[in-house]
Amino acid sequence: MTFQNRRRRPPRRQNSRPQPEAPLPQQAPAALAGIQQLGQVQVPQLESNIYTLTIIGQIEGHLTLPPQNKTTKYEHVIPQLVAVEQNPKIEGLLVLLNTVGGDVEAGLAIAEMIDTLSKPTVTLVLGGGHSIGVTLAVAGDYSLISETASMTIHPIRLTGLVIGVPQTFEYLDKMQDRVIQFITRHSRITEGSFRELMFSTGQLARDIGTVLVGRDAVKAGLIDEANGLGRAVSVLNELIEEKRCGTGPS
Amino acid sequence: MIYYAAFPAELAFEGHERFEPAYLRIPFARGSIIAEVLSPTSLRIVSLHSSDIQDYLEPLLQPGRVINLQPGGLP
Repeated sequence: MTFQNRRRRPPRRQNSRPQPEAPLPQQAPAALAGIQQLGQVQVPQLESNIYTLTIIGQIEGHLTLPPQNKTTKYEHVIPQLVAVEQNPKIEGLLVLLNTVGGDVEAGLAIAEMIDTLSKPTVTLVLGGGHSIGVTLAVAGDYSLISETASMTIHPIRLTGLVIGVPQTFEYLDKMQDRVIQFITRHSRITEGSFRELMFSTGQLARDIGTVLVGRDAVKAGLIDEANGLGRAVSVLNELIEEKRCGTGPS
Repeated sequence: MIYYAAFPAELAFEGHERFEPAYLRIPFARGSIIAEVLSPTSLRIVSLHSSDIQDYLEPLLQPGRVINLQPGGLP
């Protein structure tokens, strides 16, 4: 394995904090007054042309999950994406993913919204992008996964009350097809290879399926690159520049 | 709802039958905020309904944000 693309960080200075006698910037007296009198710290307001959307925990759809779950609510994310599309100050969207999955329809709805956004979109899988999270990971114009993040691909199944009739199986099969079609249309993986990963035995203790870690997801053709935040922002800036020049994704 | 996650559904839905949060609807000029009552002096934003789509980008209105009320709390 080579690390030729590894970033070289500049050596850290020993005394990176300003010395007490160092002159303070002009805004310092007001900021200090705020800290001393009110105990408040003024956070610098930076204008950015990139909007960051975090999809964390369970993807919550039609059902509100109990409080032990951390959730991303689709009724909030969907209008957020509309706002991103309409806001002229926002030129690109960075989607940060660390999700175990969740509601299929909510996940697919968010993925379709990201896919059809007219602005450049980059997705970055951190920690994990499992199950329905895979559709979100591939929905952008360019996808990245951090070296240690993983993606679990496994079949959809019903839990709880199951009516054992052929229609139930057909319904599940249709739902699964929707997911597979979206993923294969938005990544380099073929339907055959994806189904092979989905129904693989011997990898998961409680389930059938496959866990792809970092570069494995790139090798499988699901994700474009194994890298991190700096590269994700850099790719997004390149895509924004291409769009300004009229050669980028529409 | 079809649950598709690499997380046991029995853990995700544990306590669902007993989960009865107290919600409060807070109207404002362009819509309303639905908040869960955590204590007499604090609320947690659950969802936002607004006619101005840019409200959904406002950090102060994001779901999960806890609002601390003035001393005295809810009536």
